[in-house]
Amino acid sequence: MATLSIKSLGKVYPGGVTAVSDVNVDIADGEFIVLVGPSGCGKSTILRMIAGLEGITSGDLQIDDRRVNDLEPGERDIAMVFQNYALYPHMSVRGNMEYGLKNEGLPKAQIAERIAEAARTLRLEEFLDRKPANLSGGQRQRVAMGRAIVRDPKVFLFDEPLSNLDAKLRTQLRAELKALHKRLGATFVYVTHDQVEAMSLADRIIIMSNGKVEQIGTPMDLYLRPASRFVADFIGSPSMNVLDGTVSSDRRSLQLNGSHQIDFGTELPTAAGNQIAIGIRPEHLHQNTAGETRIELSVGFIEQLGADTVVHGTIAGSQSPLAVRLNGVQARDSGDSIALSCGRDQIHLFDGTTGQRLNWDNQ
Amino acid sequence: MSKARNNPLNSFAAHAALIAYTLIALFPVFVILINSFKTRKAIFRDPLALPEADTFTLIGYQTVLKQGDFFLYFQNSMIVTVVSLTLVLLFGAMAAFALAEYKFKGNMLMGLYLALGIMIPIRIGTVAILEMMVSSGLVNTLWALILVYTAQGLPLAVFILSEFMRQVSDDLKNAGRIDGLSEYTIFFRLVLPLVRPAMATVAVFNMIPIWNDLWFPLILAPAEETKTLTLGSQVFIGQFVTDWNAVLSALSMAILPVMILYVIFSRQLIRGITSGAVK
Repeated sequence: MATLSIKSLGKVYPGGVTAVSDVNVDIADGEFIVLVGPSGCGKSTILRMIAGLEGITSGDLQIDDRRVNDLEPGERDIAMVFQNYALYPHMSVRGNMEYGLKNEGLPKAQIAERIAEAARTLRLEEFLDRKPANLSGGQRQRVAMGRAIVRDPKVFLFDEPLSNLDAKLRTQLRAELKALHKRLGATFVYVTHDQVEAMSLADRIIIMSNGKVEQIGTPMDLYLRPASRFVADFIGSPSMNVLDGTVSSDRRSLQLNGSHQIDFGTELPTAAGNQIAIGIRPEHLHQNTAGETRIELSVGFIEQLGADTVVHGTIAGSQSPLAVRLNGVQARDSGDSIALSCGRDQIHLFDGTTGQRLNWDNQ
Repeated sequence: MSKARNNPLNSFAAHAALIAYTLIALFPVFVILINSFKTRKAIFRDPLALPEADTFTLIGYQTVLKQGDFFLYFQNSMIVTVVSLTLVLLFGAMAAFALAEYKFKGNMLMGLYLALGIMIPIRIGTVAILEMMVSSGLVNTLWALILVYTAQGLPLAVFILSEFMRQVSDDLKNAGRIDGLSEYTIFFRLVLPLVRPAMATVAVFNMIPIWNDLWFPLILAPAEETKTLTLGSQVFIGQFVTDWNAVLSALSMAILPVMILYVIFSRQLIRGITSGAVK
C-alpha cells in the first residue's frame, strides 16, 4: 500500500506531439483515483507512464517517496489490468495468475496460498484449470484482476477494464471492483472514458482534456462546482445545458445569442458587454416558477426512460438548445411549451473565452 | 453464404476439383512407390502395374541398404535439415520480434534489407560461397550446408514471422513486462507459443527444399562422409547404367521422414496459412 506522487509530469512523443503536459497530483495511500476524459486526452498515457510502459519526458514520478522514473515496469511494484484482459492465452487461469510470481522466484507454497485466496475473493475457484478462451468476458476480466491481486502490488492500475463488457455486466463488475478496493485498501488508479464509472467508483477524479488536467476533485466537487465549461459538459448525463450570451448593460441579465434574454435578479460578476456562458443541469430545471430564473422551453423531442423523462428542445424564441429532466413518465408533443425555473444557486457561470468558472455569490 | 455452401452441386464441384488435384499430386509418388517393389523388367514392361507375386522384389531396398552408406546419408540429411531449420526458426523469430516490437531508426530499412534475400536466388552466389567455404576450411563439412541453408531460409522466415508477431497484442507483452518478465522470457514464453502456427509454416516451407537439395551438397560437401540422401541416391544413376530399383527405393525411403515431419507440422501449418482468412 502506497502513496503515489506525480510532479509536473509531461510526455512529448518523438514526432513532437505533446500527449501530456504538467500534471501534478498527490495520491494518498488507499485512494481510488479515476482518470477520465474523452479519447486522446492523455489519460491512458499517464497510466502507461505510471506503469513504466511509456517513457517519461519531463517531471517526476514517485511511489512511496521512491523516484521510479527510470525503473522497469517489473521493478515498480505495480499491477495492471488491461481493457482487453491481456491474459496469456496458452496458460490456464492458474498459470496466468502464478506466472509472474514463479518468475519472481516465490516459494511454491506461498504462490498456492495467494492464488487460493485471490480465487476465493473473485469466485474463480472452479475455473482455475480452464484456459482463458473458455471463459466469458466477465470471468476473463476477473482473472486479469486476480493476476494483479496475487502480486500484492503497491499500486493497482486499471486501463478501461470494463469497456469490453456489456452494460449489465459492467454495472455488476463495477460494484465488485468497489468492494475489492474496500477489502484490499490498496491504491487504485483507474482510467475510463465513462463518466458514470468515474463518478461511481472514484474517491477523487482527475478530469483531462488535450493532455492537460482540467480539474481534480471528488465526484461531487466536479458535479457541483465544475472548474471549467469542459468539466461541466463532461460530467453528468444528459450533459449540462451551456448557453452563450452577452451580459446586459445593467449586468442583471444575459442576452442569449438570438433575441432571448434571461433575467437573474442580481448582478453578474463580470463587466457589462462581456461574453459569458451559463450552465444549468437538466435535472435542476423544474416545472414551476419557484426559482429565480425563468425559462420557457419549446419541446423538440422527448426520451422516456421510465424513472424520468428527458425533454429536448429550444428556449422559446431562440435557437439555443436546452434539455430538461422531468420526474416520472411525462407525455409532451413537439411544439409544446413548458415553463421552467431554476434556482440561482444552481446556475454556473463560465468565461466566454477561456471557459473557466466564474465565481459569484449566487447562494 | 451458408446456403451456397450447402448447395450439393457446389459441394460436388469443390470436391471434384480437390480430388483431381490430390490424384495429380500423388500420382508420381504412387508410381515411385509401386515401382520400388517391382523387378527391373516389370518396371519397364508396365510402369503403372501394381507389384504382383512374380514381379514383387525387395532387391532395390537391399541394394540401397547394402551398397553405399545409406544410413550415414540419411543421418547427414537429417542433421543438416534439423539444425538448419532450428537456426532459421530461432534467428528468424528473434529478428522478426525485434523488427515487430522495437521502434528504432532504420527499422523499415532493416526489415527490407532482411527480406531482400527472398528475391535474390542464393544459387547466384554459389561461386562466392564455394570460395568462402574453401578459405574457411568448411568444404566437405555439414556446417557448410547448414550455414548456407540457414542463410537461404532466413529472409522468408523474418518476413513471415514479423508479420505474425505484429499481430500479437501489445497489451499481452506489456502484461508480461509488468509481471516482471525479461524481454527474453516474453519472447520465448509468451510470443513464440502464440506464433507457433506461423513457425510451423516457415518450417515446412524451408524443410522440403533443404531435404531435396542436390546443388549445394554436390558442390560444397560431396565427400563420402558428408553426402546427403539426395546426393547419395545419385550413385545409382550412372551415365550408362541406372539401377532403377535402387533409385526408386532410395527415393521412397527419402519421402518418409519428410512425410512424418509434415504430419507433425500440418495441423499448425493449416492454421498458419488460414489464420486471418478465417477470423
